[in-house]
Amino acid sequence: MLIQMEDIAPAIQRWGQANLDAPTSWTNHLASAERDRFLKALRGDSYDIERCLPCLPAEEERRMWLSHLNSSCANLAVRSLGPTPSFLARAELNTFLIADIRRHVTDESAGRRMLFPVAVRDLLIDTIFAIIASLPVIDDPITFLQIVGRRVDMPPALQAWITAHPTTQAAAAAIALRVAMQLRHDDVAARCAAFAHVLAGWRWEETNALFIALPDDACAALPPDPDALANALADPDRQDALRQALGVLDTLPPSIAIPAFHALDTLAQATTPSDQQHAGAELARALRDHGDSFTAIVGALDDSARSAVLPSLDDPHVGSALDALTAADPLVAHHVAHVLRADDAAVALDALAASSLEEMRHCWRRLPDTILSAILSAGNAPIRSACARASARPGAGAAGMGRGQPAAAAGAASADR
Amino acid sequence: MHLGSPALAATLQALRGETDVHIVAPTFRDPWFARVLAFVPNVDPVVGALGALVSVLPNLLTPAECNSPALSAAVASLIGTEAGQCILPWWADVAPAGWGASHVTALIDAVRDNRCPPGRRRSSAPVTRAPRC
Repeated sequence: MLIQMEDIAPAIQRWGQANLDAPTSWTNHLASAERDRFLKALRGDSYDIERCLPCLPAEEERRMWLSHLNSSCANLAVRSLGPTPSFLARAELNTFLIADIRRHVTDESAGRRMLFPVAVRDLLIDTIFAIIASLPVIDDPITFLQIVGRRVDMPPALQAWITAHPTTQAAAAAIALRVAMQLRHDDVAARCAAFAHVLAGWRWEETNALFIALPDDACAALPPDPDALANALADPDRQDALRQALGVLDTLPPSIAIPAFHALDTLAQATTPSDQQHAGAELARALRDHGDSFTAIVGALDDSARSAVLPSLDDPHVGSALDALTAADPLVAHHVAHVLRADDAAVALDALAASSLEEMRHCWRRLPDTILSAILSAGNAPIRSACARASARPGAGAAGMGRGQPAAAAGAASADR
Repeated sequence: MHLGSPALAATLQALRGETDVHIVAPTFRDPWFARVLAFVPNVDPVVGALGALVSVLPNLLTPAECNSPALSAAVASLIGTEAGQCILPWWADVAPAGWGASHVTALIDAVRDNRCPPGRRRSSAPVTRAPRC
């Protein structure tokens, strides 16, 4: 039940301001006059919380209603109704939430334990797994997943899966996969990295069992669907070839295959050339040690998809060299192909900046002199300055790459991968 | 990508029981990781308290924690360090009365060397304050 009027009033006011069009389902159960009075009180200038209260729904419905509050006001729900997981899943972690928790929980350590998953929830996806997996134990993994996954409730299938897998690693995997799919439109690189990290050492049976337990339509896209990908990414006469190439991925471990499938799925849904190229890079990264599989997939893609993953080059000599590079290192081949096609120092810099030191060094060695000169030209004074500083360091010359080097690459080891 | 970041590595060390604040100091350069340490059960109390300060949640600390000699000593040892720059502005709000007098020389030296800009507050706190409705 509501604790104090002044607690719930701001929440009601905010909800009314944010939902001008649609009364919630429970208001439909009110008599017409009551509903009109309630909504008018919420929205009108004559805002009067006293007149709203008789129209408020039963407690359970009220909880549902509050769970849809804006996150900046969810601490009010905590203050009024208590620190339930559904509210904590939405609340911003700030000084107000801490104060509101203390109204209900006098034990300091218990209050901090309640807020721990809220702190984890706001981490970047590629670090959530590392943090959770390092914990010796999770007190209540179901509640933990509910809060980190920002869920109002927890599906029974996922609860059962967590109960059957009582390890922090399993909980971390479920949480990371769930969060990664929620962030579907965010950084594809972070999502693929999370998948690779989470699924390291997993078998397909375990992976598929978790996929089935995960909730939501977004997670329904996690199990690979070669037919859908073939339809979306290959010309009609190449769809069988792509299906066959994708079938080979099923023989690879899930930590490799799932990021590759996810990159392809993202590529199929990408709407801009930039998004397509990023997805292509992640496909190449996932299959970096499986050049044959990568080459087979690329060979079956339609022109648009292929152009994003590994653009073709006009010069047959360069194209032949690129084929060999693709078999040896698909990710470096991806970057180099895009740079060569664009013939643009800015594109090259972008590709280098997006690479790890190791990748950067491999790419650098394969760029033409015209591009390298342009990168180190007067228009890139900061790069030249950094290079000068790097080459002035003791021992920098021994690590050099022979053609000049960007500062970040200067410290890279000289041996090939 | 943060999987290889020093802040994450230091956070993981703290989660595994590291108590030396200078070893876990890279965590305090990232308020999001620091916040994890502020709330995680069983972390060293001083490390957790420093995490609360860096993540701009000073009211998480109880009066007993604020007056802890161990916390006072830890903050003092960080004067002039990068982590100290993230901690001292918020420590000023909760430090025991007279704490600064014991460390005035170190504080002035750090300010003079531009290792502790006076009066500086981080402008990009990890969590904006919820508006009072």
